[in-house]
Amino acid sequence: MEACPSRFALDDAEIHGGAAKTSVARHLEACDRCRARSAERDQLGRRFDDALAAPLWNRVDGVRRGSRRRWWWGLAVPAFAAMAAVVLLARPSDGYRATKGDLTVEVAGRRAGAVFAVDAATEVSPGDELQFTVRSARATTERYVLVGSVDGTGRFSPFYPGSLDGESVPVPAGGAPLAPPVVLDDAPGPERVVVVLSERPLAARALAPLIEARAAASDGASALGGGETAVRWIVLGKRRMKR
Amino acid sequence: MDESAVSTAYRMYARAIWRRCYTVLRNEASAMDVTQEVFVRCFRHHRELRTGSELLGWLYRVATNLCLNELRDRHARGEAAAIDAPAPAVQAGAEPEAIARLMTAEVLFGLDRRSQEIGFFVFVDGMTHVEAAQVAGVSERTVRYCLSRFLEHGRKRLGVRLQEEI
Repeated sequence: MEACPSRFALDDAEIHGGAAKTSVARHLEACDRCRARSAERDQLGRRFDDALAAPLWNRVDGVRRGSRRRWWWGLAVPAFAAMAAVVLLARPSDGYRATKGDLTVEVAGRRAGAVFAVDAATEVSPGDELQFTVRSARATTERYVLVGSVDGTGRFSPFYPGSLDGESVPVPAGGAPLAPPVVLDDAPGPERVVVVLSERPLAARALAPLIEARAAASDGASALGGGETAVRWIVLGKRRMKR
Repeated sequence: MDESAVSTAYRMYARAIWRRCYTVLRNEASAMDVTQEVFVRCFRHHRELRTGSELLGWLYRVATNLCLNELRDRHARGEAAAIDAPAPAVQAGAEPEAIARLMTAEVLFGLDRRSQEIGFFVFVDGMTHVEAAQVAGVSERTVRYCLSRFLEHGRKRLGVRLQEEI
């Protein structure tokens, strides 16, 4: 009798088929032990297919959409509508000034079910939910928005769109907030949130190095890449996660 | 492999990877956590990956290292970290009880990670040296060397004699 196939060989044959599958099938006919193991494998496979595959994919996909956030599909929109929102008005001295497009960004936060105001003095924590509402006086032309953050390591992670492979998203109609809310991870702070408004969709991957460079230079640039953009920076201190 | 291919890879391989993790960890939630991380890494490295048996090998390797991390953490917490019964290919030529004892956290974690990984492939998964070399991305010579370290370490720690041919 041929040597018993490894788990890897069994999986390879099951998935890719071919001659290996025939060989494994022949072995199973002759080997009681492998047949018993194969039955257990089948049982576990069914358990995965029936109950675990879909929720696990949702978890993977949620992380993929940005390691910086998780999706909270269950959050009711009305609950957020009731959240207090703090308008971060541009003032020359607070570092939040947008010099182009009269861009206003409203940020609302929620922690452990409690709503809190987000302003220049706010210190956020891992797990905090943030919701962004973006408004522009030039709403008819600046119709796309990209929001993300440069963390304490200098790495940019997009929130909207959800990954570097995406592009700016349309500004929600009627002053509605961007959805779903962002949940901060435990990356070191500060969180230097950047909001980029543009006339056309912009590729997040193309903007990432420019944003990271601007964040490193701390120059609060009001434009990126020389294009028709309005940019706003919001710097938030961040507590460390207790371990 | 482009990013969209990862969802296809999930459909093809997640079942096998979860099953393998579960077999090692004997805990459904832990196996879910490890499998999730395997595919998150698949997304992260998708440009470097190719589909087919090579991808299955890569997923196996990542899953192995994550399972070893989980076992190490259990060991650090003082929890039992015995690994599932050895693979039949090994049992045919070695003392099952000795191999089973060898595959405990106590022994595993006195070793370098490469030898842990190779020992895992051969003794737990029942891979041939050729398979272990392919999955680990090393030469067969390296596999033999790592196995000799693995077995020597086991002999010292457990005082058992093993018949696995190197």
